[in-house]
Amino acid sequence: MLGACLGVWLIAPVPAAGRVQEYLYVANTLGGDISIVEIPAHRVVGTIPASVVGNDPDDVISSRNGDVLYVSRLDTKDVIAVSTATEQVLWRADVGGVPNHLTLSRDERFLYVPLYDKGLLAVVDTKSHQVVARPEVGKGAHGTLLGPSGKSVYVGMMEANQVAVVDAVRHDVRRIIPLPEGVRPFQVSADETTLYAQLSKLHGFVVVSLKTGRVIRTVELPTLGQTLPTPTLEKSHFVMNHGLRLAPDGKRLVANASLLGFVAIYSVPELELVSTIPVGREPNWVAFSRDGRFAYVSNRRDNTVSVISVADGKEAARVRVGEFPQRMTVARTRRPR
Amino acid sequence: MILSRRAAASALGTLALSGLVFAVWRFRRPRGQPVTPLADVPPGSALRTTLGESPIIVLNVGGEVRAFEATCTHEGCPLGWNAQQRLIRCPCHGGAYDVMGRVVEGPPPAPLPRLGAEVGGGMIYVARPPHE
Repeated sequence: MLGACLGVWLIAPVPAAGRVQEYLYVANTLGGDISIVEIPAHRVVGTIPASVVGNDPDDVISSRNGDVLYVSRLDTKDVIAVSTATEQVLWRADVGGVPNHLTLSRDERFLYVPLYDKGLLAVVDTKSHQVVARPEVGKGAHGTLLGPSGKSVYVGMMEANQVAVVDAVRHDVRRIIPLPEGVRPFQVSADETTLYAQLSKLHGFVVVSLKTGRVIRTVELPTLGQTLPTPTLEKSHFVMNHGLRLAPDGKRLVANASLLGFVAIYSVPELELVSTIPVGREPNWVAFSRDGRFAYVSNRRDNTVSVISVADGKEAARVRVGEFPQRMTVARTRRPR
Repeated sequence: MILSRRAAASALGTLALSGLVFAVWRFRRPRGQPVTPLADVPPGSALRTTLGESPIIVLNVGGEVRAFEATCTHEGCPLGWNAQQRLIRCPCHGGAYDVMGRVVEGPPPAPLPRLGAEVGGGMIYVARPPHE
């Protein structure tokens, strides 16, 4: 039986790869699959099915050369690596807690996985597929970001109201930056002097000096004449806005107004409001095309992605994807034909 | 033994009343709104649908139909069903509820509100508790 299976596996055709192209990969958490959107045509050209992904994918990021997707899965408390050439799982690693938003070390040897329910940062060796360190970072570990210098990993905590700065080599916590509330998506400037962070109940974002560790400015998003909903779940952490991204050139910051259904684009470093753009229901994440021309916004309550033309400040297209799309990544790769 | 006319009438009346009660019980329209055919939720499975505008989840647990609000008590995210784990799962922060709606994992602070669920004429009917 085993021999027969092995034989079938050995003679099974390997999918031929197509041409190199830029794609947007959209993790549909409820659907359990990943939609693949071609850039710049902005049409769905494929799906990595739930039979490959499944188990509530929370985040998807890509290797820098686009050959591998890393996916964190809430239900199975693991991460999987998926080949973009075959769209099959390469390996899987248990991380021992509920994994949230991922980031890679500069040399891609380590994958940093915040464990929401453990308050730890699991450091996964992408060669051995083992967790090699688990520094304690704080309750509700949620988002991660590799600082542009490559020396620090920033981890935002939803419940501990802080950002932990983890040494990317030694894998220990170097510094804790307290913030007024639960930390949601955040960004770090290219010179690593400034951190921009969305907070759970703030309709806007704060600007933090990484020199002093203090909030130096709070930017409130406009409401565009709408009334901000008030929390309805008594003990909920509740999130006003989720989705913040600096453009590749660092000159624009896109911030989602998740409960009001629009995105706001700010100039950087002035933080002047450049434009507001209506999108779908509950925008959750922002990703950029590699050239920075387009910002992609996942509208998780109506299963679409808004394509924003950054220069025009307009929605150029809206693409229907899978169920409950949240995190996204852009990769340039060769898909199977 | 000879029954008196009164006793016979009483017995007949009781029989007729029982039959009527049975017929009403058997053929009455269940309480609530029809949400899906029973055939769409075979034993061991679940189906996500809506009651009015609210997402709900209907489970068939070994032939017993149960229904719950399908909004996570943590941050209000819509819930899904993991068939392998037989758990109601939250796609936002990993919360999990069992087939009784109890929190078994993650940050949800409260169990899922249970709804009334009945089967009639091959359909599943779901109703909110009367106080709502």
